Amino acid sequence: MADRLANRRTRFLIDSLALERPMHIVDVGANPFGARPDYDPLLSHGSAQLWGFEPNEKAFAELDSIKDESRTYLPYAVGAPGKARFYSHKISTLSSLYKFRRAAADFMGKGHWYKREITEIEVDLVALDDVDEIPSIDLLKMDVQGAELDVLTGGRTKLTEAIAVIPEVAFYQIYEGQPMLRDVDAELHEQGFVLHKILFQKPALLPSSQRKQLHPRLAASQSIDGDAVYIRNLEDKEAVSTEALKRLALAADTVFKSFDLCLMCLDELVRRDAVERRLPRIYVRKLPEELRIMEPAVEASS
Amino acid sequence: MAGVNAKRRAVLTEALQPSRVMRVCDVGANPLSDPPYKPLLEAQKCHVYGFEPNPEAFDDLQKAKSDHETYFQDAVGLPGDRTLYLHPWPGFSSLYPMDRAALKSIGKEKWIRPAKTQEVPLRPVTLDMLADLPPIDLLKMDLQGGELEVLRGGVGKLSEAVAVVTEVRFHRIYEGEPLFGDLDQELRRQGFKLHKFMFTKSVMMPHEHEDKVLRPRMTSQLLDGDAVYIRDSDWAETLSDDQLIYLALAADTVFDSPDMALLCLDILTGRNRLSAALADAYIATFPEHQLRKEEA
Repeated sequence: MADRLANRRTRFLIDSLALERPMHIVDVGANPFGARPDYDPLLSHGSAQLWGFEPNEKAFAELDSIKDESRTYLPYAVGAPGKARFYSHKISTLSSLYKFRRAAADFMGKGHWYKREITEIEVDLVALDDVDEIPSIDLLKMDVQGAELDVLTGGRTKLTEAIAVIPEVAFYQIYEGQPMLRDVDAELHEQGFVLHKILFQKPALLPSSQRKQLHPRLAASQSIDGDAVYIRNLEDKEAVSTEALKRLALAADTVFKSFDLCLMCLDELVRRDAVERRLPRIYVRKLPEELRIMEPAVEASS
Repeated sequence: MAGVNAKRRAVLTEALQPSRVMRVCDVGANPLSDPPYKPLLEAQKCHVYGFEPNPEAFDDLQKAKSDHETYFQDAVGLPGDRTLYLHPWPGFSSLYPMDRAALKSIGKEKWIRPAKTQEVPLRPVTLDMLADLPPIDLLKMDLQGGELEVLRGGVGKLSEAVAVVTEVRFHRIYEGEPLFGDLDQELRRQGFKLHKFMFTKSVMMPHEHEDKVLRPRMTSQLLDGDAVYIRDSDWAETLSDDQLIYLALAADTVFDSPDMALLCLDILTGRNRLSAALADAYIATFPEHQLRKEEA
């Protein structure tokens, strides 16, 4: 039900905004591990083009089998260009370009994290800016276990016009030399983005003799990592193009559910005469009921 | 909820007997609500060191305080001739002036009250300069951008501290104020690591349809929050019995991480300082939802 409403709202925005070209979405570490990515509705409605990177052969083959005109998958590992060592972990979500810290696993009671095999492989990394298949990036999503910072620094040119970046950020250092939230934050500020929100924080239950008695999530206190949303700095709106504002409105609504931000962009678009005046008013009515101050029935039908 | 926490806390405060009482340092005048360590203060399980530069407020505090409170008539910061921007609303005064462009972008330009903001000359002191302040075990800070200065000027007094609870800013509201990344870096330099964010505050992005939406459910822009940092070391190897007790009490009462308190109890039990039965008694007070469901 909520999904259908969201879908209709996305559809409405796409029709009303009339983007000049599809939004360019890049997903580094595209393996969704079974989940549907948040940007998926934009692809289904033909208003976005995805380039997904997945160096893992098996995961790549799976992704490549679902490619279509709006989805392209590339088998490259993205980072600081050149040869690098990749620590392939039996628990594939832990595989990283950084070496696993046993002390971190011990502190968080994740002994099973290092009881599994870790294979070292040599990989060739490419910088985002050197990937000719991608013309430019509007929205960048990353989940690459520590490599987020290198992806960002290697993509400064293609990210010049980007409206949002969604990196996984580390609160606890689980790899040696792993860039932390503050490092990714500094680079993104440097590139003209500001932190908008943190989508979720994954906590670990600290280990004790009593751990078997405790709920692994609801009694857990130590933050490990989470997904953050950075948006283009809007202090100087004039510096943001009309097309970029449209893309930000769409991403805010559909990808990271910041309806207030979407409205702010729509207002600015109205001010610029770039969309119909009534667009924000209609948009508000399409938001979930629990977010709205309901209008009297008479008005609602007018 | 408070009842549950009070029972949980009582298990610890009755059993844990440090050789001296925990020292809590609270920097940031005029708390808007009860400080999280208040139950420990009432149970006489900590001594609080606070700061109040305003002479009248300082006198009031001196009259009302218990034996477990010490107040300094100082402002904490890096020394020099400074300006305090005294805001008409409590909790907005800062050593930094408000940043108009940053506030405007989140629709909070109205927070700037130039006519009612007084500029008060100030000569702050650092924690390390205060001869009457002993080394502290837990630091709590909320001073609108001044947190980094407190840390830089408190390296000595903080060298044995087990935890720091600090306000961190994610979106700038004062000109030139240090942000989360700056604080995080300094805290790591001093041997702490991030444990968690206690709560975060978000605001609604400005738009012209605010009469049609429920503001509390439409706040997407992260503003600030309280972060908890803990000692980054192998606790079993490096923390004294007393430090483990302070960390257990702080984890339980100040930042609500009972799993961490249990970890401290384990180490103390391993040192034969506690009975293993204490952990059971502690867990017996946990609310149902924090317990793993028994297999049927």
